[in-house]
Amino acid sequence: MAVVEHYINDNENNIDSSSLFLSQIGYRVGYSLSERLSKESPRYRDELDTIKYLCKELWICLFKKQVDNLRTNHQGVYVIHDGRFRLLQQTLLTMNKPIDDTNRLHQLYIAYSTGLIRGILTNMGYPCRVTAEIAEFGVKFQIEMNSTVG
Amino acid sequence: MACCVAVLIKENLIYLRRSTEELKFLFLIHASIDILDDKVNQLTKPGGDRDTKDFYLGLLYPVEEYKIYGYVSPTRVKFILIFEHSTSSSLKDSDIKLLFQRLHQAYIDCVSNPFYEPNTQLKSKRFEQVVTSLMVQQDSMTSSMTLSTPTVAINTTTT
Repeated sequence: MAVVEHYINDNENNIDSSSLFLSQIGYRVGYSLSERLSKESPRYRDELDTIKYLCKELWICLFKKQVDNLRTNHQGVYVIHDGRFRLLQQTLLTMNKPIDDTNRLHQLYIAYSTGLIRGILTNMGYPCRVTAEIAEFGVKFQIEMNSTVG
Repeated sequence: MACCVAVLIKENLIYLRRSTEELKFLFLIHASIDILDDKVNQLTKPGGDRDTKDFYLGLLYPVEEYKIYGYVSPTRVKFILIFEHSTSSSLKDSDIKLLFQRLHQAYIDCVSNPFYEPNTQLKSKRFEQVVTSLMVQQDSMTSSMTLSTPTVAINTTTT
């Protein structure tokens, strides 16, 4: 994840703008990635199917494991919980950096991942908003569908 | 042999190439959008045959001189090929499917280019080449004509 490292070093004091940048990069990556990967599994999906596909197959491609927990209220809100989020494995294990620094690092990795998820789902036909928070031993992604958009 | 190739996202035409400048093609393409949407909805609705292992949606409809074939990617990008009746009589379904798969792969490669902005016109040279090969294949008679016509790309939105 050299791109994240780059933004940590590059943009010293403006974490919001680097988060935004990384989220946009993630979006673009997710967009083309979903186009490429979805060709391999020929099947049309509805909303829940798409999320399941993301959690099972795409998550393995991206993070080499399936998600640990997926919950939904059946009204367009999905919560994905990943107990061992791969991008944060290293930093969560070795907490020997200053606490301030790791938080920044986490935030940027998370920003990238949310962008990635957003890009994938948007391209699959479900525009959405993705937020994330670091739970105790993992990451929780909350996905809200914009059902108003066609 | 294909006399018209079109790629659409939702109702926006992002790529169009025709062998002649006829407006008729635009009309045919727009008429087929509804049919494509309909077929995809049939496949995605609960209880529908969702396990279809195919994006190729077959012959959409024949008109007097042309046959129109459609293909929709899982990300809902529509590909439309129009053949002339006379040349397409020898074509099998599997042949056309192969053509669509090549077109789809070319589209994926094009979208994966970081300098391409999603939902805008496709201007990739490589994509052009694939389309050209689709249009001239098996039909050397019209190939010279196909090559000489400029690419027409317009942004249209149906209401």
